Amino acid sequence: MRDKQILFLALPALIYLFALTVYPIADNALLSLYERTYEGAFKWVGLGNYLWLFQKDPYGPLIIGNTILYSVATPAISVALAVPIALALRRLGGRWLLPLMVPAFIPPVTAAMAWYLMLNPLYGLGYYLMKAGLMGTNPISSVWTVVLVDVWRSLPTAVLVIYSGLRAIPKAVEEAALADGLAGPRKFIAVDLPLASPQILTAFILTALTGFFTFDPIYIGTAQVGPRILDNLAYYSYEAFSAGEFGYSAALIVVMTAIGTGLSLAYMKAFSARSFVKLPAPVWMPRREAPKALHYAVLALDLAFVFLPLGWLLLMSLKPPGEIIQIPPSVLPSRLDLTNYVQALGGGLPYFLMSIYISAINSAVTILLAAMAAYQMRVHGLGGGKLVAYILYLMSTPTLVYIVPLYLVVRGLNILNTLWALVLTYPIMTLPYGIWILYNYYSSFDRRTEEAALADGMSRLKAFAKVVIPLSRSGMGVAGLYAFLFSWGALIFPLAFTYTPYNLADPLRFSGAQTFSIYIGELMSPVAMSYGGVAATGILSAIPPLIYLTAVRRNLEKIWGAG
Amino acid sequence: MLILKDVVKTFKGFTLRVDYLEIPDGRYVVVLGPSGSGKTTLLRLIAGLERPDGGSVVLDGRDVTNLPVWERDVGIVFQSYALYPHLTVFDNIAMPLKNKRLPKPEIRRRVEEIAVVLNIADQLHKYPHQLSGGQQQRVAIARALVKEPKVLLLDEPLSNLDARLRLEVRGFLKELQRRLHATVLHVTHDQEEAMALGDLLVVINNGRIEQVGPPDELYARPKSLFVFQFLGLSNLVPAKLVGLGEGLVGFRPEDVALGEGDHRAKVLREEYLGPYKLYELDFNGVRIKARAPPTAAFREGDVVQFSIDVKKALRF
Amino acid sequence: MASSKTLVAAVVIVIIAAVAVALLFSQQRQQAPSPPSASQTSTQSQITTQPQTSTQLQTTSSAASLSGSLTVLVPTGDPTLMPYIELAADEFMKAHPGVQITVEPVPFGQMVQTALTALQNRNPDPALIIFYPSQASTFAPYLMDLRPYFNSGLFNRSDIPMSAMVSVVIISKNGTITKIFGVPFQMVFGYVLIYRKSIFDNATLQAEFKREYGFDLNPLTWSSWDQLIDAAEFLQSQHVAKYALLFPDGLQLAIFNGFLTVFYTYALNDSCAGIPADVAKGAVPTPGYWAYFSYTPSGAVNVTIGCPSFVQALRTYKRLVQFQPPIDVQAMEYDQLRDLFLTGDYAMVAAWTSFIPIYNNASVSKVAGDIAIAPLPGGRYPYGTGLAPTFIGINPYAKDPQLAAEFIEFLISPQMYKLGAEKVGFVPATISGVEVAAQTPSMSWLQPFAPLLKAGANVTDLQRLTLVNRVTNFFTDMRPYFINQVANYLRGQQDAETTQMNIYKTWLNIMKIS
Repeated sequence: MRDKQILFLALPALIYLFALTVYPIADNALLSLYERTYEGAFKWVGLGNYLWLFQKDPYGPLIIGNTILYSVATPAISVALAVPIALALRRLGGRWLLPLMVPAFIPPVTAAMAWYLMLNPLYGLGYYLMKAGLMGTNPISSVWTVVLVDVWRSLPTAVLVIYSGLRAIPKAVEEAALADGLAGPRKFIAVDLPLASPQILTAFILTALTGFFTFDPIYIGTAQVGPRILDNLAYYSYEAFSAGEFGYSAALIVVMTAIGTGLSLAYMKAFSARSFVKLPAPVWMPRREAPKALHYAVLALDLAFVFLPLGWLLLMSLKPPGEIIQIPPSVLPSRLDLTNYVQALGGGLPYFLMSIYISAINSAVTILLAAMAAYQMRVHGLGGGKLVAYILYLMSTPTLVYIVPLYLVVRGLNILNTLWALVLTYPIMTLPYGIWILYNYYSSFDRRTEEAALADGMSRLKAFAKVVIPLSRSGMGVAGLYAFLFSWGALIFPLAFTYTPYNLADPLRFSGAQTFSIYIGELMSPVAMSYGGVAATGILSAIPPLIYLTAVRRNLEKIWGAG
Repeated sequence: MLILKDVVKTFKGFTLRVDYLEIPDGRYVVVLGPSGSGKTTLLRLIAGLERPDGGSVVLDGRDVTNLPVWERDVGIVFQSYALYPHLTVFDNIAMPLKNKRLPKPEIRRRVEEIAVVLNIADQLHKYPHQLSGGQQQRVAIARALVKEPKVLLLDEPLSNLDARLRLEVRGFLKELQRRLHATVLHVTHDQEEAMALGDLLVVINNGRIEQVGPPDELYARPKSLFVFQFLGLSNLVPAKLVGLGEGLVGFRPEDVALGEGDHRAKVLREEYLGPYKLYELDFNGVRIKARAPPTAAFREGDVVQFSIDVKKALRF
Repeated sequence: MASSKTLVAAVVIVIIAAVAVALLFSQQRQQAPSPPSASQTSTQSQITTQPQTSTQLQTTSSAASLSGSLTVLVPTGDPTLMPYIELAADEFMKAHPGVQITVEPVPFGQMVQTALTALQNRNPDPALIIFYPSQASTFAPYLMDLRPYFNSGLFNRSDIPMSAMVSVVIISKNGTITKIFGVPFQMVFGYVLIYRKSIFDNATLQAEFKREYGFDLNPLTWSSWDQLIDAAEFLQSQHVAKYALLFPDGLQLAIFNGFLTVFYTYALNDSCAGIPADVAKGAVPTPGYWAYFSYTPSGAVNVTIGCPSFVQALRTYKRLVQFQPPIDVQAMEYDQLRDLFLTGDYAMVAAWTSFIPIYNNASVSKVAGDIAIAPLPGGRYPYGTGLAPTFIGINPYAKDPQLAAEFIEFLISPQMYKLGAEKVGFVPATISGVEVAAQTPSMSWLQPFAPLLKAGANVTDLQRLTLVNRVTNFFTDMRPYFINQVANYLRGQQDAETTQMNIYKTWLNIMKIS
């Protein structure tokens, strides 16, 4: 009888996940066979959408090429940079990890915006880059800028994963290497790199997923470059969706899902295989340890890389409006001016409030549902390896995949453009992560605690509520952080499901549900462009997640193995 | 010959100080001490995994104090074996030779030779995770020996083995040392293991060497109370109780003869240990242990007479 | 194990349910949303010839009895639009105490999706939707057919230039108007030449220019792009400003519209482009996207990209953008056209008239009070300046479409336009409105444009002018390709002929005609 209760606890999360992921994936496949006509009806076109993409669409090859470029260049650069940084961290101590992790906690749209503002060829540092001859053309007009932003965002993940891999190398093995005449770079090649290779592969695939599904840098950058030039499949499908071409959008998503599934499978394989790469250790390699100064230099460079765009954003947000579009741009504001913040808050308040609501609600819902499912999965083995694999698969599937069918569902439920549309859909992006984090957290959880509670006569439900939940606080805090981050930075769902700002005149109806990310994007659009306001909103958008980050820092460092 | 002179190493709140220590060639030397005594630090200083704050380490007349590990002619076997999980047994053993730029055939010859010695010649193509714990240890020893070091350092080599295997490996280690005439420095906290193996024991406590010598000498004539109590079972009573004047007197359970004598004590507990019995007695408020033949039949609660072999008693 | 069996069962059920729902949805989709509108009941032909007398439609005289509520969706960004709508709403509510009008702002970038979502969702609100020409075809299927209101005379057809209407008219193959889904109520002229009075009024410069080039340094007297380019070269050489001319070449929209301005002036004189005679007479500045499409004698659709005027226009366009930072340094999109001219670094800018209030805002602008306006390329040949009307349309699901129509009528009434011109500097879209507004001293710059509007009141070849509306992927597939190709030409990556061939071939290949 107890087993029923186990299932009962996990059921809400699982039913939700299956219903809202399987249906959209199936429906995309169906939709991709239709075309919206001029009159708005759906017409059966068979494989017409796919044929259009591969045969007629003048940007089909470019977009597929971009997709490949983003999903190869981003991980290649991130991992190449992450390895020396992880080495420096190992040498200099994990306390440096936290500042390096900051980009992972900045909303993606803010990250993209900060870089584009900084590289702006007229009002940003781009002006000096071009003047100095370091750049011949507009630095923000290239696909490599998208890669740059993605590297900035994904580098922390790569560093974290590789650092944990390096730390996992037993000290004795390192000493044995010393005894065998392996030290410095030679040891790095012969021992460190092979032993960290599973983590390096994991980092590669995780950052490849970031590159594969990149959206925000294109959303922000496309106006500066030309239509379609930066697009990948993800962005292009969104464009088709927002132009009302649901069928074509669905077809693009199906193609993307197919490629993404391949990447996910590779990820899961890398995750479970744990086999090492073997590298030859050529005897000509030096054995001298890299000097500490070099490690500090690597660290300093990474810190500069992390904080330069954020610093520029902050300086810009504090400039008086007249100074912002000044050529040549000034670096420091002549005086501190809060006009931009007044503007940002004035227009942005409804958006800000809505983001806070949905982030809070969704974090709470995610934590609770995820804990209920993850505990049963880990401690009672519910669903087995297949369920875990499905959760991993969902983690590596972009939310973009679901928008077209979910849009139709949300519209059918008549909750479009309300808070409820977001409440219904947001867990799709956060629940898999939440379950995964807590699933790992519960691996070290003593199931005898629950058994003792059962022995004391509690039911499973009661035992879970009274014993398991209170003991899971630190794990739930971290799961909550990620849920909060994703909710706070979400762009695709609110873009798809809302269209007006929160109506403050009638606050309890919670209708109008555009979020702060949208507001930032709005301010970046060429028609409404207000650089100062954008910078101020960017800074504001970074504050809540950073507050949350500092609040749960301890727990995070425990999980990261730093500190 | 390995000589440590005036070696000092200070960690937070702990200092290891070795005024003089000499490890003669071709002997099986065991460094014995409780955990935290500094015995592992001593081994690491010799290995070169730690640099001393002062003093020198001299190996066969060469000052190796500031040489990197791989230039010291020492072989190390780690407690956890520390094999390279990504390399085959062959590559694991060959690693030190590869880094000495030996020609390939030479490497192959020496690896295969040492594999035969350690009885793992048929495992060379396997990966460490495919081996049993005992086999892994042999690979680790082979890796340490293949470069023909002047000293072989063993860090708690038996602690990861179960009790039965431990006896077996103990014998194997000693035989190996004898066969190769190697100089072995073996670190352990287990006094029984130390006495069974060591030609020479170095007892270390609290960062200081207490005594160096053959096991029988240390057992019979400990220079300090610590050595006396650390090696084997011991009794310590105020000298007045046994009529030997002031201070404390120590003696071994086997030096107590139960049944007759001047002293009386109450039997608290009896332990049957096969070849003999061990009794715990209340001797005027002090607990002492005594050894008796397995046929002895004292009962708990009995008051028995006993005597002490005063010649063997030690005054502290 | 029992639990995992139950779980598998649950999953299977959920999947089956999901697929079932998916199928159901797709079924519904096939019997798709047919936009409810008067178009089904009315088979009227040309409105101009056959006014309908509909009894249920009231004229304004009895409007005192109006009551109800309306929501208007208004894009933000245009400095006069929102104030004008608010002003009109206030006045309307004053006149009809029973009416409640809510103005709902929406950022420019979100307006299409916002409105489209409401329409597709059959929401009654917003009742009124404001949109721009480039968005018209997206809304066409969803907005209400307004012909009954035109036919009833509620909206005065003769006061609205046909050239401003082409984006909101749907015409059948035989030339019959089948739907009108919007009313132009705000006119933006674009592009116009905005230039610095302090530079152009300088007598020394004027004299030297006249001596060197043989014509006046006065944009109102120019008649070709060459003259504009000559003037720009002159000003650049005189270093009177950092840059002589700022011309749109932005990669999002500006290239598309900026180039069209140039192309149209050449196409007028190119028989290959076949601009209809009544338009080509030069009376109407309607450089619409329609100029790119023409009918072949057999009735098929052709594109005019292959015409000689296209290459001419490309060459001229490249010369026009040479006086500003190059496109691969900074492409000039709307925000740059708007912001950079404020810095005082530019002598002239090709801009929208909607920017004028910003340029004249002394708190952000260094050129406030220093600007004058002329059509492009010059006052003697003003056909580069087009009409970019802002439209308002009615949501067919609105609670009270009649009330919405009454409000539109009020928006385009001369009295309201007069008030708008005086109070917020709003530019009307009707002939009478522009005349009234131009009387306002601050709006006197409108005067040269008033005749253009008037002359274009009658255009007969509507089929040609609305052909572009039938090209369903014009904005989604064809425009992006066009922009990137022209940008490549401006960057010097390919020559004019290649650019022309690429666009021509690709457009023909991918064009979808409804």
